[in-house]
Amino acid sequence: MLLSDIDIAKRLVDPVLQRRLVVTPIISAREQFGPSSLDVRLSTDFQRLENMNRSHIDLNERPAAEEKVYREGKRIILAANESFYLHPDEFVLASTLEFFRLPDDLAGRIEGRSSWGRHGLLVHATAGFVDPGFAGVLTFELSNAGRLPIKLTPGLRIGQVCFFQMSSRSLVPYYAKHLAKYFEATTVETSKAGYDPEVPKNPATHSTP
Amino acid sequence: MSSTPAVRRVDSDLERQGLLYVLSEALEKFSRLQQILKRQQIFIKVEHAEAESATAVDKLINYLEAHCEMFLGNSDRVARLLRGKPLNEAEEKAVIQALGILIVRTLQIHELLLLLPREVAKPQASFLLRDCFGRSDLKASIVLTNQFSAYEYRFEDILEKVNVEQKERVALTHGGNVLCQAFGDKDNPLAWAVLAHEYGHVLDDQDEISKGIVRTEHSSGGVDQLAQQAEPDLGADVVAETVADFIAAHVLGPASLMPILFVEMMQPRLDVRQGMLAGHPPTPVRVQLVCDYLTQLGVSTKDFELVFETYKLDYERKVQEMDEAQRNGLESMEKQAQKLLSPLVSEIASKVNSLGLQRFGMQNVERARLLQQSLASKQPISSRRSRLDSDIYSALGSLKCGTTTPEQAYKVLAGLDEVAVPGSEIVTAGWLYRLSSFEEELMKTFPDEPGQRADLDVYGKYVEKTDGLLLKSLEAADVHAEILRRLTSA
Repeated sequence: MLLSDIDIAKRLVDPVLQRRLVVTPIISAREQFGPSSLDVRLSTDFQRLENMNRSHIDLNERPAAEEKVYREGKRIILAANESFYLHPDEFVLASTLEFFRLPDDLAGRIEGRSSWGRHGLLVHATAGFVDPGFAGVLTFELSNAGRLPIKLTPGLRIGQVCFFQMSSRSLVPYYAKHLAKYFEATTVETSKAGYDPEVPKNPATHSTP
Repeated sequence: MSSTPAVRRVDSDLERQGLLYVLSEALEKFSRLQQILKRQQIFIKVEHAEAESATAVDKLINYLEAHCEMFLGNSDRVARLLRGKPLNEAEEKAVIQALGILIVRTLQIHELLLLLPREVAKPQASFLLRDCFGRSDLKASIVLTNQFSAYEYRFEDILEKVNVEQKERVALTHGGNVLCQAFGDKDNPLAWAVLAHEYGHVLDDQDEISKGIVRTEHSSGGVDQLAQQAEPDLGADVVAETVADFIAAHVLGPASLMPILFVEMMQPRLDVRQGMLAGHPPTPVRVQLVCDYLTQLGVSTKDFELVFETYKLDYERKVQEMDEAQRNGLESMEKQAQKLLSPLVSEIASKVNSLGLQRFGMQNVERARLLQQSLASKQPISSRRSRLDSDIYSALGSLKCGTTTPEQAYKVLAGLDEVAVPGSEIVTAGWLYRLSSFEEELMKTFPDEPGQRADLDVYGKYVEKTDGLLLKSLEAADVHAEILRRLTSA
């Protein structure tokens, strides 16, 4: 069941803490509430995934080290009044300004906003689903499908999240999963797909999360 | 810093508290340093696989880890000490000595970071200063450097030191300042309170507060008297440091003192070279003056009282361990500083108050206490609701589909709007959270199972997570404030 505006609002201040949905900061409810969704804003940090030194993505190849290099080398943090120009066909990771904590009986989905979509801005490549029990900022997988660069400034409402009431509480919510890779993230995190057990490991170079 | 510290018994609750503070600070510094070195190692390996410098970083990491191993050999004893279980004298000495060595080595290696490729300061440090001082343009940049030379540089002072002629200086001076931050504190907003002190010097220079006070006092001979004891300008320096202390306390409250006290407690002995002779009044004098000033502002220091008491005991014991000549010298410095500053304190306070800076008040302390709970539940604290959740919930219950107008709905929904939290509250809440949570994290790091070694990564992750929450809070608060400005102007 998709939650309506009033049900989302009630969940944000639910007196039963296990049922409470956390979304913070809400700067202007008037602007952010849609009939069945809550608009989310762009934060200040971006991860530009460079390709000049890489022939391909190989999860078997020292993923932890690579992540750290990217985290330190290509990360951009803007001041609130600065801008990031997303060029056509460019792909960057960014995050929501809002921090989320979903209860065990709610799932979420992040989507773009129509006004931005009309300029070619896509906010996720494939992973728009938010698990029950997840906590942290949500990742935007931003790309520009248009033909002109898009100027992005922290605080812009570029996405929206809707919430689904589940048929029952999850048995193993995200926080209890044996490998909750992005739990309580407060900033953009690059892919940790290399930690998945089915990915072949090179024991000499592979590290654990 | 260069030799093994003296060993003393942990024979009171306050001594134990002091040891816990030192242990937490040492592990924090160690884990931050380790993170920086590992980042450098990866960077060098990926970018310059054949470079000689890779060996240097590897050596530093190995050296640090060897000393860490020695400390970890005492895991059992630390675990027992943490839980108040008795240790015999030899065991207690071994723990304190191993901890002292880890601290000394960590601080030594930190100084060598100066020779490695530089990292850059986090932009959130500027967000914090801009917020505290209400300046859109700080006219000061932040750079990372080593621990023992981290302070504020004025372009004018440097030009004077390198003998640039007066007429040339005009072309080179832009009135800018550089605030230096220790490498290890790059990700640590709790340590950035020191930057507020350094920025206090920038404001002091601009408004000539200490210079004005010193000029007036020269006629009474007070400042000269102190200056004659050591070196020229010392009296003026002591006044300038007090002005900067008051400015930092004015905008940040008691949390402005915390990094200074923790770093000093961690030092194996008092280094007088970093005290009065470097222009600062002895720290106990600074603490007393700042606490008195905060009391005048109506700000309680109660939440930090245990740190002050522990620091005092630690200081007294270190003074006792000094040789007689040093001890007498330090005690005499303390008396002189008190004598010099006592008649000036009210004038300094009044000048700082008249700068028109955002004042940290008791309501900020109270709100920080509440925000600390959000940090404890691992949530960022960039904003808070003004209305009670229970009130909003009942108001939402009164809305009915079909009969409620959109304006009525928006009016109730507006109760969910949050206000941005000032940086000073974020830092204060961060300190309160740290002081209330570190002991439990130490317990997790040193499990109470015979023969089990401590896992320092556990403490490292706690440090990293707390940093992440505080950095996110400062970042989001900055954006929040900017959006409100945009909405207001629209």
